[in-house]
Amino acid sequence: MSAAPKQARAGGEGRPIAPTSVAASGRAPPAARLIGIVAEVDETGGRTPYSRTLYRGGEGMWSWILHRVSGLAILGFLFLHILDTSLVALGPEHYNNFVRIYKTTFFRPLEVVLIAAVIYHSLNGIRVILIDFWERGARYERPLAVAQTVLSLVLFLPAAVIMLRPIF
Amino acid sequence: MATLGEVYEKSFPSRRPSPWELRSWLFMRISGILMLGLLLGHVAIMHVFGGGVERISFEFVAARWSGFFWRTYDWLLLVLALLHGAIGARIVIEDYIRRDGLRVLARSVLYTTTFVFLALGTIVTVTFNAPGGG
Repeated sequence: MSAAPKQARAGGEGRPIAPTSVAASGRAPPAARLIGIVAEVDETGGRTPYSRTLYRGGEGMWSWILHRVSGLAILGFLFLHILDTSLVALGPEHYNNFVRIYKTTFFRPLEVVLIAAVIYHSLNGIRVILIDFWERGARYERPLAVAQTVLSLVLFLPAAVIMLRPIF
Repeated sequence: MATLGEVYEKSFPSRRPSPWELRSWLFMRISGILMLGLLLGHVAIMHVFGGGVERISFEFVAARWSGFFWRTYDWLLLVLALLHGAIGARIVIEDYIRRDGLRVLARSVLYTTTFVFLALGTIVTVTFNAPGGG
């Protein structure tokens, strides 16, 4: 290890998170090590113990992890999706052959997972933007989280039913 | 009224925003809002209603891309989603890869891949010729 400690990011959650060292030492809980959070630098430059930082396993931490995981999953599918769509340039046989994979009973549930990721990531993104830009956003953090969860389910559940009906 | 820089610093108090950092942060928010309509529309049309993925075929794409509107829609979504995803992945790389050399390598691979896919997607969307002229 060299260089100055790198800073972790809050991903727009509006929360001060900071440099690492406790995480590397293995004293922080696994989830904290996963997201690279450790301790906050206080005004005197000393480190606030991990137990006093904001992310210690609450909803904020989990929504932050889910946002990353869903984002990376969608990006992964996007690369695949650009490749499959590019097959139209090679002609109908190639494209239709490949798209057949998406229509299999094995793939349909994965498609539903993808849609869940898209809905979650979209609405969580809106929540993050509101907390950043709306001056009361931080105060209504909990109602916003509840609204996001409810709205996600309202959009997702009917979509999942419609999408999965054909395979049953 | 808080300036953009102040809003950014509220999220990252320990980072002084470089102009590039501030712009990419803002791009995430703007592209996110634009995609809220574009992407949820895309999902509703292609995956949920009207038979979903069941009816997707070469003929479906050819009919869809015979007009200017859907080609532009799809291309815009491609660009926004890819750049949004690439910037997000870059932040993940910055956070987790601590070794300098490895981080530079990961970043280079990400930027190259993004560029290649952006070029591929753009070429396919722009040059596609529906059979029978479109």
